Amino acid sequence: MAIRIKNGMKGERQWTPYLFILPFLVSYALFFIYPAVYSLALSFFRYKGYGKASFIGFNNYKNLLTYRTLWMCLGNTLFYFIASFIPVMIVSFSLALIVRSKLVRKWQSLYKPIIFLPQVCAVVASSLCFKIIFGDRVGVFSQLAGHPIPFLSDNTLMKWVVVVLLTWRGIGWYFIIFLSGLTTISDEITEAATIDGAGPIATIFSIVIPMMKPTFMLAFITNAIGSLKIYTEPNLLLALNYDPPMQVAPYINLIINSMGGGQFGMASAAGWILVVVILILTLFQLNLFQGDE
Amino acid sequence: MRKPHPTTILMHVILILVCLLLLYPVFVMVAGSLKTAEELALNASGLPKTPVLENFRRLFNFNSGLIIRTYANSIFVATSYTGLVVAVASLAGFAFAKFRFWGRDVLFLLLLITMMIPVELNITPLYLFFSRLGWLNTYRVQIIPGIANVFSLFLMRQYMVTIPDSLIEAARIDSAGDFFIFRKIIIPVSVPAIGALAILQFLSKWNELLFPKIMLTKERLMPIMVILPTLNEIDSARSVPWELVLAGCTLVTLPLIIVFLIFQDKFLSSVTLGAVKG
Repeated sequence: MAIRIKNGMKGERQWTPYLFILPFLVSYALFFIYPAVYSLALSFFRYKGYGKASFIGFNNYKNLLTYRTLWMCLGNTLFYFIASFIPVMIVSFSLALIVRSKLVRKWQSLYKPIIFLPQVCAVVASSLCFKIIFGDRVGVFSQLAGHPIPFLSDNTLMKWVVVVLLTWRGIGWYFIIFLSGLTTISDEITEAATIDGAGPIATIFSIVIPMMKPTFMLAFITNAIGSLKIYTEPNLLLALNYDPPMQVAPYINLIINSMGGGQFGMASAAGWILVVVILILTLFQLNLFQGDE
Repeated sequence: MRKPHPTTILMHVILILVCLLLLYPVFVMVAGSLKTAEELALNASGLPKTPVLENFRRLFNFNSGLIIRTYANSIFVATSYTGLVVAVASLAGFAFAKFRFWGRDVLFLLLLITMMIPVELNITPLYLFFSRLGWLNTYRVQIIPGIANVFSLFLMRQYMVTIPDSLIEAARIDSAGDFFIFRKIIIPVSVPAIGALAILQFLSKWNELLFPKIMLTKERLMPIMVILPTLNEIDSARSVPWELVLAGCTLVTLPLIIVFLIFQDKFLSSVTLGAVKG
């Protein structure tokens, strides 16, 4: 045993904190940092997964960025992100405002779990279930309409079905986040505004929303990062056997397809392009939020 | 009794409509799992006329018990993963919250910066490593890789910072060791954060699809989530047994919904505690 100093204040036993972080750091280094660095290096090589890797400089990046499919898949992912972001945020914030309002507040323990429920459903199960709701033959809508509606075979319509699924799932999560943000705003503040003659809408826009800025910032940024990595929903909804048409495939499919084709350098480069996109989008949002201060 | 304000009624009407809309897909799933193929083909939207459990029996017998096996895989993998994440994150979180050591703040900042890097980036290199190590088609590969995640560390650290130092100092005066303090003071006090973290991590592992799909080819080792989407390809040439798919969906969803309804406060507080989820 090492010598211990009795009555040690924080930091006097220098070796223990390192011991406590050791399991974390070791597995983080092995399974996160090392692979990330390796994939950065690999992105400059042509590598089939066996044999020799040959250095090709920025060729993987050049090929990818001039490859129409990359822009198509990136566009699809951005579409899924933005088209679901707007309704998710508006609906979940409105629901939070309604549930938090004095008239309804005492019922909130009834509404909260129901609104959150879609979040608890397995993603795979919800995707498959939406496939049935929007299906051509078995589909709920097709049956109600009495004729097949091509929700899942028309390239434009099927993208919107994904958006509906993402919105359905997403509302509960942000609703709870906004609700807890709203509880930090005391009734006195909003009442004071009402006494000053502000209507409910004016109070929301001039008092509540500005005070919720940190909550919005966090919600928007985490939503963006999560949405750019979307994989399960479009792949299950839009395809049998995980192979949707490229016109609707999300960006992650590009990485997976390159891997499947034995182009590991290309797959790594595609991964790093995604990192850059996430970085740009996050900085853009941070800028937007800090800009109007 | 005073009559409720018309605005109140309007708000309740809106909320009830939204709730019905949100619940409807779950209803389609559960109701559909109790319908025969013939009924589902005609009536996917309503209640089953005569509910049958036949789909579940067929599902359990499918491919010599594959569904039960993979269901058990999912539970085993998600539980062990959650346990390890919580252990690793609370140990490290304690160090970052309650010790002053050389390099602490720089290290913490660096870790937070790496949160920007998506784990999907590492699928390519990890696949190569694990195929060389012979880890493909194991439980290890499903459990170990993500156990150190910065989000969990951050959550635990933020919670542990709020534990008063006096509690620790008191134990120190009784010459308690650091690990003893961790086990007997820090962990019991951190139970709310640990519960929230466990819920979030369990759900994320439970829902995982891409990673196991890449790392596994042996069906008997897969989590059920990878199997479910392939069910409708059993007979892909002619008919798609949607009633079986729905039974499978119900199987992976209903237990979670029941647990959620019992522990809803814990689930809902996990959202706000884990609002930094990325």
